[in-house]
Amino acid sequence: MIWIGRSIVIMACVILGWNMSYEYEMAIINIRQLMQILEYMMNHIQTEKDTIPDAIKKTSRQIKGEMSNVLEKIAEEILYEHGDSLCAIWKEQMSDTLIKVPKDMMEIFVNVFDHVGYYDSKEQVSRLSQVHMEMEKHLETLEKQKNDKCRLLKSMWMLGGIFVVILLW
Amino acid sequence: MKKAEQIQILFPTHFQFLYDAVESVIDGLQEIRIRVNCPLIFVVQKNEYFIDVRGNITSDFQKAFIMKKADLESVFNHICQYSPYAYDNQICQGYFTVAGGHRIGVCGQVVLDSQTITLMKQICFINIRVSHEIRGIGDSLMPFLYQNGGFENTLIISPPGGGKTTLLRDLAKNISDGNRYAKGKQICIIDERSEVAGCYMGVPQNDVGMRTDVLDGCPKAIGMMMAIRAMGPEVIVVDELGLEKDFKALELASVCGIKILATAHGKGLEDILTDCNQNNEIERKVFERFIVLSWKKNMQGEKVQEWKIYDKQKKLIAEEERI
Repeated sequence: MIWIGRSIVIMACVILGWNMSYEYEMAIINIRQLMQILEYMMNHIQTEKDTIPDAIKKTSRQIKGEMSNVLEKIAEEILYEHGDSLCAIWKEQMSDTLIKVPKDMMEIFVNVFDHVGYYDSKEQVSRLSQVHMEMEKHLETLEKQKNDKCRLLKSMWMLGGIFVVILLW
Repeated sequence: MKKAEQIQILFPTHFQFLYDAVESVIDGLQEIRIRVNCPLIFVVQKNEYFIDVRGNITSDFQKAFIMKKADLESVFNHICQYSPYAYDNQICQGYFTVAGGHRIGVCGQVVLDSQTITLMKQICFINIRVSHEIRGIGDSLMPFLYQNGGFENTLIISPPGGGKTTLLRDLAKNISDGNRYAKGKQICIIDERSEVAGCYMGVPQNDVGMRTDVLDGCPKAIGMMMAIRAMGPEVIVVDELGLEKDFKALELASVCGIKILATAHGKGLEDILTDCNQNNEIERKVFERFIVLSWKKNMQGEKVQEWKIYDKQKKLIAEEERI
């Protein structure tokens, strides 16, 4: 019975380690999706000279998952509801999303529309591409550390489990 | 979306006090004039009113809400959906159209590049012109615009603000949908200033009929040729003819057998006949019907619109007065 308990503790820690490393990988995938959103929006603004809400709306149709709904909601709110500024709506909706990305990265993305009102689409695009570049840098770092971090997370949790088992011996 | 909502949505949250004012006067609201460091003005049935900080409509200038530059910028950005770049071509022409077909006129500092306006910056004056679509306004004119089931080339003449475009829109709808005098026809509207169909994102915001194609924002002369080549219309509709090249394109279209419905500025038929460019065209007998619109006061002192319809020989064939 004791051995069963011990193995359960170790198994749980191993699963937690795997889960955390999976979350780390998911964060990278999510960042890629956020970058893709920026790329789509830049394309719409650059080639079709779309307004930001239109670019958001079109992008919502190009991507999948939770972000698609969030983007659509943002566009609808800007286009058809009274009052709030684009920046406020974007921040509110993006802060409420459950998408998991590192906090600093999310902050960059949430603040992407802090500067709007450009008379030239190139300027708006360059603002978006600036954010894109910042995210790219972060992503590179995360990807470089990916293998080490995942291995570390898995082994740390496993060792943690063994440590708990030894403590309870 | 209701018309009041279409106007309310143009103002950001901190102008919520205007929402009730807009709602209360929406039926007669013609313009909202916004100028930096000046009171906000509502033009309702040709009368001016101010709005106080609580959103009440007042005639007292002292109580009026004064627009600051930051306020105006926030309104402008909000109207442009935070994307003025998307409207740069229209802004250079001084106006753009928003959802509902309402026109936003803007004034500011113009940047020129070899006599061409490349940018308008420091926008400090905005005029929101509320679109008024009056359906059925041209119904009584229809019998005079057809002969043997065929539509006659028609020119609507009136001074600015005389209701040319409103009438043109309704006539276009009538011709397109069909009426008791003729079947519906394929129409192409060359809407250079987005006034007739009031397109927003390419979609007409006004009802211009089910057989109507709209070439939005396109110069009239080029547009007419494009329409003939691409869309094969039976009737071409153009607003505010003026340039010689417009008339040349018009002549070409009429030679191709396409019927024309157009408007031109003028006080009366005489104005058109004495105008050098337009006179040429009329001499070529493109137009077969002339509708002259004018405003006058009736016996009761009410402002009425007078319509006179002339035929090819400039003979009066019908006239009507409307309050």
